[in-house]
Amino acid sequence: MIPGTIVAYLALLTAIGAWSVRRNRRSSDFFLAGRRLGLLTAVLATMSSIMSGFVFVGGPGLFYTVGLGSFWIVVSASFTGAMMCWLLARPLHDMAANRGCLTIPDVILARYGCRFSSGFAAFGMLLGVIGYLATQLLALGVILAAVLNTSIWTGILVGALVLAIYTTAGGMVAAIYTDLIQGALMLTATVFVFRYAVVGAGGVSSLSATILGEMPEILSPWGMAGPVTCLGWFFLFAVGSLGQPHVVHKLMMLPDLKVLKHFPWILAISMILCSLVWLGVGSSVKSLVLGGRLAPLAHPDESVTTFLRHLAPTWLEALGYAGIVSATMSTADSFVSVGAGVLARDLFRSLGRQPASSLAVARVFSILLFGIALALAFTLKGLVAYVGVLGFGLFAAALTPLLAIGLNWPDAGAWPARISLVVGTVAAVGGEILNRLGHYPLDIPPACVALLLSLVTFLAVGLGLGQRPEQAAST
Amino acid sequence: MLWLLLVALFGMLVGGIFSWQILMVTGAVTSIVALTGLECPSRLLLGVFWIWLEAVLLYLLFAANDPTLSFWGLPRPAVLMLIGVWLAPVLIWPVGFLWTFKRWVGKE
Repeated sequence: MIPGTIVAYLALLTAIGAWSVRRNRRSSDFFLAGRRLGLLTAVLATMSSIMSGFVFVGGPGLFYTVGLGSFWIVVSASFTGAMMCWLLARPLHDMAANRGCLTIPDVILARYGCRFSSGFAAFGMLLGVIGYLATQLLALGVILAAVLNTSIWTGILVGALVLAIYTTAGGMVAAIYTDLIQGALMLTATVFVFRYAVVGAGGVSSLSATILGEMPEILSPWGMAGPVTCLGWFFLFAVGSLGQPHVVHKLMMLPDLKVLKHFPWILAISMILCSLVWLGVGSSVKSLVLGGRLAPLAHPDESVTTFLRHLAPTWLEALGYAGIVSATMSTADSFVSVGAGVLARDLFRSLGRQPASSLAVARVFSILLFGIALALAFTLKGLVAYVGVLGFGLFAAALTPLLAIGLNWPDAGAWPARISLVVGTVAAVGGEILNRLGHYPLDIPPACVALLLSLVTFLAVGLGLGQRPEQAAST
Repeated sequence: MLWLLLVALFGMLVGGIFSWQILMVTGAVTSIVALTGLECPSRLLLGVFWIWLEAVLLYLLFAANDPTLSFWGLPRPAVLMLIGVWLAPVLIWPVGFLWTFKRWVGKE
């Protein structure tokens, strides 16, 4: 039943890709889904691009190790949608509607008039996108290998082939329609998985009593990580979400700002529902292991697969795996669109060439992106994990000041953008390298320090320089 | 608001580097509120959010090891974290966005 369900699901995604081909007539269709997103599509597409496979696999694993403290990574989901709307929706919508911007580096060029900032942001984004995409392909390979009873490499190839077909043929149109199905599937899967996980551990009271009896710090609000690390995660994910190109890019696809009226609260509730899997499976498996009803896990990331194999009925196991595959693919397809835009338009322009705008070129670059990510996944597995981990922090530190502050502060000129981009990128990469080498001395996560440094730099340089010369001349 | 944001971010950075938890909490909450204040049309929403989140986070700092059990046999700080930081903010900013939507969307 489980392999059949997954194969049928992959076939459906491929069919949507084929159907979407005819709905792509211009490059704005390919990169911005024709700017036709409605409320439901905007919510599900945003949710499914934020909630990657990490929420389904890494999240419960992190709860197993760190306890409730790990949940600070997702708690800000209740209000980041509102921040995104207030701070980014209007300027990004205006840039797409009135200035012809198709990508985030397009927006940076239009806002700051600085080719260096646009090119540097494009290069950083490309690095992050390739790492993220390769990580998602590896994760997809692991899950498909387990479900289809094949090797990881065959799993990666099957997953990459399906993704390549629907994203290359259908562009963002296919990505949005598949996100609808994937988002709905993720929500259904999390609700049922949460219920069965809690019931499987004997209910919340029994689960709590077992954990409190054996390892009470797991249910402390800061878990095993401590307040400084948890507050760092909280800030990083609350504010750094405003710099994630594959997420905020969705705001450029709106036909009208009126679509957003109910967006923040529906997005918040759907993300809260989705994060139930983190809480439910993480606490349930921890309680069952501490209570001696499950053998200790060889690796924390096995929490969700252990639950699905040992505690879930067959139909839920199929639904759970479909949810994990959906979460992974829906994030990956957003990265393909963002990465193809960077390759086809922004890097060309930063080299002084005319950006490519034809559909055929966009498709060729999508395939090229897959090729690079696949090569990375096959040859440099360790590096993939590293670049994947780096991705969120790099995007947050490099782009958040330019987008969240700069788009709402007309006086900020090109210099704050240039300097904070370089400071944020160097701090994010340097901090992560130190962390990997075991030489990072602080409790606050390195990506949070990088984000804080880039935000402080942007503001300090901007406030220090005062009004932009062109602004001063006009007033 | 920009100066407040700069000071709050700096406070969070210093608090994080030296593990000064109260400074970190106040810096984080004030930064989030000051950043949102660049475009949020309601000072009331900003104020309510600041007071709520600051109070909940400070309680969690000081009472993290409170063993009192609350709903479903969970420790009180865990319940307060889940309700206070994960669920209740939906009623402040996302619902507040809906409430102030006409003012926001009609703004030039």
